Amino acid sequence: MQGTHDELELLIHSEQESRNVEFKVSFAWGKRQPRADLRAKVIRTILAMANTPDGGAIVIGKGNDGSLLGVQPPHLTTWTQDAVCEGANDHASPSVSVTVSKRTVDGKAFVVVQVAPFDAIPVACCKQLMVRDPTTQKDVCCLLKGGLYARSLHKIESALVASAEEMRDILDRALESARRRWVESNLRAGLIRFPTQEPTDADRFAAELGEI
Amino acid sequence: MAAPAPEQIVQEIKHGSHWRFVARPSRYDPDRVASNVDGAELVDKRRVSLRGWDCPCVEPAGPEYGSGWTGSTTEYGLHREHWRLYHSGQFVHLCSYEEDLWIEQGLATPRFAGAKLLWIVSAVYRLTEYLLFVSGLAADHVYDDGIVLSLTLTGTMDRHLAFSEGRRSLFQDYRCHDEPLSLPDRTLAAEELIATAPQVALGCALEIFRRFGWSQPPIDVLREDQRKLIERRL
Repeated sequence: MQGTHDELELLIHSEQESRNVEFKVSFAWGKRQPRADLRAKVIRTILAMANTPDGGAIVIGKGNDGSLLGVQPPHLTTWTQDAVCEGANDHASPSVSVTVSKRTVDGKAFVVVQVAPFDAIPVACCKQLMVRDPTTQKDVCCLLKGGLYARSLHKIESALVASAEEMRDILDRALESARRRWVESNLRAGLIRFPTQEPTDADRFAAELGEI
Repeated sequence: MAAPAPEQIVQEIKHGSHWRFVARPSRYDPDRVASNVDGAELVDKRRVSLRGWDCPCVEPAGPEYGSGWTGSTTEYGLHREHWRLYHSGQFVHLCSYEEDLWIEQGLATPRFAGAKLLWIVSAVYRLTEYLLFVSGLAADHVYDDGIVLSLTLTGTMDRHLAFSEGRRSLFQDYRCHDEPLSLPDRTLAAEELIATAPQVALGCALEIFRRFGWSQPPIDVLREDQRKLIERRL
């Protein structure tokens, strides 16, 4: 997934967060960097967006209110495709597909991490992630091993799937994806063939009525 | 003031609450009715006139001819309808609720002012006219392969059943909670339609009333209403 220039600019100019868009202020990406708590939250959001319809994007360099703060130059170099992929996939099973892009808008640098929705199997957390809460200075669990995260339907947050409704939605999409792959592989192998798309009599009668 | 154009009347019907009745052959044949003139002649021969007007109604100026259909659009009094008979034999009839026009035109008694109503006996009449008309087309071999009947009423949410006849009343409020109210499509053989059109019509009416929560309508009374209509004893 590679966002077009316009698409990235639209994301950077998003006015508010949504189920598919998250903002984070500038910080350096790395386990041993000062804001490991923010890194952990970004990883959690990546896992959650992978389980959310249409995936999502995290824009680094924006305040929670949507303000265009930009990414500080020393932080910018730490945001590489490899580093973000490795950091996220250290905790994801199966792997998530992310694309890291950088753009300059109004003289300020921004990083956009785009997350593709899962292809066949929902993404679960395969390794716990503890972080030190900068306020309380206590270690807290940010990612739970075996946990399935998603962007909540009711609140803009990345959280463990807690409702039957969200779980059903994820399972439905996984089943649909499995069905699609089954059909595609059997079509390629010539084992099945789509019926010709001749309109039925009911279609012809409906077309005849048109707008009436 | 100039009369509204047919297209405008059709839009008014479609965008307001209305009845939509469709009868089509079981098999698609685009040339079942040879021409628009043949279609007009068929309608003229088989139209039903039981209440003092025709169903379907043809404007005095003559029918409209479209691409592959004959039809007509009428608006007068409490009556607003549009219908088409396609060369395929498909017949579609749209009409506004006369009940709504009655209220809109300020003709309702204070008891009914502002209400959304479905007149019970009028519904039986309307369905009987539809079924008798298409059974006439069936007798002219338009539906030799069988016929599929489809009926939808829109604007049904919170519509109440009522008798327009002052001397009759319901003992409780029957209200529809569906929007729209569609009956399942029904397929019949042509002979079955010709032999049982009034029964089919009454069955449709009873199903509509049940969807308003009226589970035990007085079938014999409604059948007698229908018989008077068919025998032109209204």
